[in-house]
Amino acid sequence: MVERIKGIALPQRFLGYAVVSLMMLLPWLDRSLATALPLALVWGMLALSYNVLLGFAGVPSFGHALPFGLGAFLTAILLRAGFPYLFTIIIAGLAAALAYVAMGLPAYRVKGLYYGILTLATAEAVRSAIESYARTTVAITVGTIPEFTSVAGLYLYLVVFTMFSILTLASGIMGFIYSKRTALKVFKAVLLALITGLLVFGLYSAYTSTYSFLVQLEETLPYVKMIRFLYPLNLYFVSLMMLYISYYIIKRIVTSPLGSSFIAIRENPVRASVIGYNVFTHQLAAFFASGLFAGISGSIYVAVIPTVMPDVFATDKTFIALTGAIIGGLGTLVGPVVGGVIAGILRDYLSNITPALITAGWISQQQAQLIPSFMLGVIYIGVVLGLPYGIWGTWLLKGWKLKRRIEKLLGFETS
Amino acid sequence: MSALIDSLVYASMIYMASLGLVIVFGLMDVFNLAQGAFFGLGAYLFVTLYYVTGNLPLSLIVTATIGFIIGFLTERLLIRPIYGNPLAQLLLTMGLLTLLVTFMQLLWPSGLVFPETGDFMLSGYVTLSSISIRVYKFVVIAVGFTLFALVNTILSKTMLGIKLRSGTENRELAAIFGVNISRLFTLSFSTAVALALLGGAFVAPLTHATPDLPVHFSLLAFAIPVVGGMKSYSGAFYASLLIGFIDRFTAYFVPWLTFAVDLLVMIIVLIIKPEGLFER
Repeated sequence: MVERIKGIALPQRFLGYAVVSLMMLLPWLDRSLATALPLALVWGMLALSYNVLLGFAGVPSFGHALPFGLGAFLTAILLRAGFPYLFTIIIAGLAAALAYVAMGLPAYRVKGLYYGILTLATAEAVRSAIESYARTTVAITVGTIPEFTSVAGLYLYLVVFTMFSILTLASGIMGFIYSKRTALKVFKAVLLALITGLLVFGLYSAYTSTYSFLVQLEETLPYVKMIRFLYPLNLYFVSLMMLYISYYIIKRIVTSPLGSSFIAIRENPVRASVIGYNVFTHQLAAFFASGLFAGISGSIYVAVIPTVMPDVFATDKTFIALTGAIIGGLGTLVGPVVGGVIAGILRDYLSNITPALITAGWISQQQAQLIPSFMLGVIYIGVVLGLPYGIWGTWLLKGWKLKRRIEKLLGFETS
Repeated sequence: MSALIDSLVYASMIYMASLGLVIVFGLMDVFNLAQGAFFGLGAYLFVTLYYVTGNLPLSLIVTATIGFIIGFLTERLLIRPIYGNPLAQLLLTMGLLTLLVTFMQLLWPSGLVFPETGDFMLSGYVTLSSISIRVYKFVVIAVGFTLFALVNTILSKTMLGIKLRSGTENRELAAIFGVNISRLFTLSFSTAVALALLGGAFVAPLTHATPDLPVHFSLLAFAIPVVGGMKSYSGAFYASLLIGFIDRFTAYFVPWLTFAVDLLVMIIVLIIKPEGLFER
C-alpha cells in the first residue's frame, strides 16, 4: 500500500502535476480567465484527438469536424430533452466514435490523399445536407446546464485542487530528495519554493473566496450573482478535467502495445501487415479513440457556447484541430494539447484586439470575427514550412542539446 | 431542355475549375487542394475589377495575369520547399485553402453581385421553344468546350504538350531526355492557377461572387479528377459532364440533395474504383 502511494508521487510525475495544479490555480487569480480558457481547452482536446489519427496512426483525415459536430449536436439535443450532462457526454462520445469508425471503413481501399479528399467531402456533404434540408439555419440553444449551477461542483473543485497541490508538493519533495548534485538541488529547491508559494497563495484565495461566497449564500444571495460565481468555475473545472482525463487515456493508449503498432503502421503499412499486424483493424481502433474524444470535446463545446449551428460541421473546425496538432507537433503527446490551447488562446486574444479596428472604422463586425482565423492560417503555413515537427517535436529533437548546455552551465555532466 | 443546358453550363464551370488540378497533379503529384479557392478568388477579383474599370476584356486579362503571378509566387515560395513530401503538401494546400477562403470572406464579407449591364451577350435572354434562356449560358458552354479542344490540341500537337504528357507518364525518364521538369512545373502551376482564376471570372456573371462559391467549387473541383482519373486529361472533361448532369437533374427532382449528391458520386467512385473511371 505504501509502495503504491509512493508510486503515485514519483518525482518524474512532478511536471504533470505541477501543470495541472497551476492550471487549476489560474481562475482564482484572474476571474476573466475562467470564462476565456474553456474554449481554448476544447480546441486543445480536439487537437489531441486529431493527433491520435494523423500523428500516430498516420491516416490523413480532413473530416474531423464530423465527430466533433455530431457530438455537439447530440449533446444539445439530449440536453434539451432533459438528460443529465455526464450521461450526454458519454452518449455523444460513443456516437461520434461509431460514426468516425463508419467513416473510416473506406480507408480499407482508399489511401492517403484520396482518403483526405473523401473525408473532407463527407463532412461538407453532411453540413450542406443539414443546412439545405432545414432551409433556414438550424440552431439549438441549450441555456444553462443545471449541473454547472450546483455548489457540489465547487466542493469537488476544491478537493481536486487540494489533492493535486499535495501531489505536486509530494513529488517535488521526492525529486529533491533523490537528486544528489548540489547545483541541481539548489535549482529544484528554488523551483519548488516558487511553486509552493504560488499554490499556497492560490489555495488561500480559493478557500477564502469560497468561504465568503458561502456566507453570502446563507444571507440569500441573488440567483444571478450565484450563477455568475459558480458557472464559469464549474465549466472551467469540467473542461480542464476532461482534457486531463483524455490526455491520460490517450497517453496510456499510445504507450501500450497498441500504440506501438499504430506507429509501426504509420511508418510503413506494408511492412506492418507483412509482420502480421492487421492494419485495417488497428486503423479502425485509432478512428474509434479519435472519434470518442472528438465527440466529448464537441459536448464540452456545447457547454461553452450554448448555441449549436450547422457550422460545427464546417471545415474550419477540422482546420483548428489540424492547426493545433501541427503547431504543437504531430506524433508527440504533449504537443497537440499545447498547440491546440495556444491556437485557442491566440484566436481569443486576436478577437480581443479587433474591436479597436471596428471602432476605427476599418472593418465591419462580420469581418472582425474572421481575422483570427486568417492570422492562424498564416501562422499554420509558416509552421508547416519552417518547423515541420511543430514546437514540441522540435524541442524533443533539438532540446536535448540545449538541456546539455544548461546542465554544463549549472556545473554537472549527465552520463 | 432547360435542365440540359443548365447541365452543360455546370459541367463547363466545373471543368474550368478542375483543369489546373489535373495538369499539376499529373505532372508533379502535387494535389493542390487550394485550386477551387483560386477559382473563387478569380470570380471576386474579376467582379471587383469590372466595377473599377468597367471594361470586360481588360478585367479578364488583368485577372489572368494576376493569377499567373500568384501561381508563380505560390509555387516558388510554398510548394518548392516541401517538394517530394506528400503529407506536407497536403497539409500546406489544405492550409492555403482555408486561408484563401477566409481571406475572401474578409475582403468581401457579403459577396459581390455582378452588375446588370445592357450588353446582350452578358445579361440578355433568348427564347428557345417557349423557354427564355440567358445568352451568357451559351457563352460559358462555348468557353468550356473551346478550352477542352484547346487543351487537346496543345497536348497532341505542340512541343509543350508532348513535354507535359511525357512528364505525366514518367517524370524521371522525361528528365533524362532533356525536359526541364522543374521549369515546366513552375510554368504549368502558374498556368493552372491562372486558368482557375480565369474560370472564376467566366463564371462570375452567371452565379455572382457569393460567399460560399469558393468552398462549393473547391469540393467540386476535387470531385472531377477523382471521378475522371487523377492523371487523365480527357477523363476530367467526361467526369465534369457526368457530375454536371447528375447535379442539375437532382436539382430538378430532389433540390435539397443538390450539392451533397455530387460529393456522394465522388465518394462512391472513390470506394469502388479509387483510380477513377477513365483511363489515361
